[in-house]
Amino acid sequence: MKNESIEAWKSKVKLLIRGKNVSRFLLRLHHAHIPILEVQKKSKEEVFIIIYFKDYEFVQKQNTIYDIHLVEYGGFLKQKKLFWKNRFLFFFLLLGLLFLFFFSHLIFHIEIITNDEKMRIELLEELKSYGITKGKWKKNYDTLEKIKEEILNTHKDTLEWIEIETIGTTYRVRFEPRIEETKEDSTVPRHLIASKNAILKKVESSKGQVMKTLNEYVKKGDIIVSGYLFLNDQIENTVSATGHAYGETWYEVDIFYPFGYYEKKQTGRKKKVYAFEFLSHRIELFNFHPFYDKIETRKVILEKRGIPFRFLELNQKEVEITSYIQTEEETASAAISLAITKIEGTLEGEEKILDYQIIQKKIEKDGVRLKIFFSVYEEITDYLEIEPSREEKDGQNIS
Amino acid sequence: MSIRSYFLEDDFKMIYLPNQIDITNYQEIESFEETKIKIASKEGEVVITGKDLSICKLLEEEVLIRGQVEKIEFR
Repeated sequence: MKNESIEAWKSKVKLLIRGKNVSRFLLRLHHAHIPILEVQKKSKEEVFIIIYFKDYEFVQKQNTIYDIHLVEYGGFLKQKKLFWKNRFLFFFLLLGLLFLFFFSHLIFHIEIITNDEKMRIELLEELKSYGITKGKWKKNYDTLEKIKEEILNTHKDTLEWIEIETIGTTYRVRFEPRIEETKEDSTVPRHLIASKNAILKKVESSKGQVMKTLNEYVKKGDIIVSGYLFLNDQIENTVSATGHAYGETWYEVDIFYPFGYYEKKQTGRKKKVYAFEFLSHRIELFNFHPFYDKIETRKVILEKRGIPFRFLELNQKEVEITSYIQTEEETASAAISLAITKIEGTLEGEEKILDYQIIQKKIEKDGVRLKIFFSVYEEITDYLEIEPSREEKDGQNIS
Repeated sequence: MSIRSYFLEDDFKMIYLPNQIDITNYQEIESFEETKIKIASKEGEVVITGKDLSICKLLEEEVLIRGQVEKIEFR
């Protein structure tokens, strides 16, 4: 098997031998110990033979009364000739692969997913110090892991975790900022109070004494979890009440929504186009991808009085047009959706809208005005510090 | 069979298949015509007679003959 593959790669030539009594020529080659790898009879006086390239020169010297023509090359020599013939194709293919390799291993963009501009700049600087910046080589997985670990160690007070995701030639950085310790962990003696009027729905308390029952109406400032610990109606101890209180609260939203809407917004894409104008017809030159909607300013470059022909320079800016007209029902529905979105935008965690009712609907000339009553499940936690002097003065008689 | 001949395979060998004869470890091709081929070997002379005989491969140890073989003589 090994010999066969070596044999296939040996340089060979295919020759056409023409003459009377070709077999005598073959015998002469044989007696000269020239291996003939293949003999194909073409006619009585013509035969194709395949010999090793190294013997070709010798065979040519035997050319006395016989015509010897080189038909084709074989083996390594054939591949060499083929390569040389297509050298430009191979060269550019190789160049293309090198380019592909080169550009696919470069960092073209670093995307940091955050709204915190200060943090974004800090992280970009930090990444730059590790060689992660636009135009630099991408890092391998192990190096990235190491960099993440080092960044976390350096910013352990501000970062909870960080992830550097590789998407093609872009590094997408996600992170979770470390939330500062809240007043929940405070050691200052305090009460947990209601931040607004609500029906109490849930109380989670880890420190302090719960003073209210579920579904009880609480007013803003009412103590829900007391910082005083009572024993036999006497204050035994003062603690920093800790926990969360959730309640049903109410909002009244007044919202107006128009029947129709029209907005023309520039996309930021602009170009300069040259055009011929003849009467009301215009031919734009080399504008292969014209903008669908645009605004433009025009400058006349060439114009002759009396001839309805102009050559123009146009500065075009692409715009995006949003427009619609809705029915009364659709407008009301859109107004409700907008109100819900606005309310939901202020909610966090397990907070949610429980119910809503339209309490007033007014059809105006341009749109619909709604008054919507929302009942919302939200956190109503607030804290009230216990002043030491007051605690001493009033503490004995609080029940 | 000696170990030497097992490894080196220098015994004269002739394989006959329909319209094809493969000969290995021959000594010399004495004559070559369309109707008769004479090959010398250690064991003696082999004469192949037939029609349209042609040599398809001619190496130092191996020769491949194609054609309509009528007779093979060992002299």
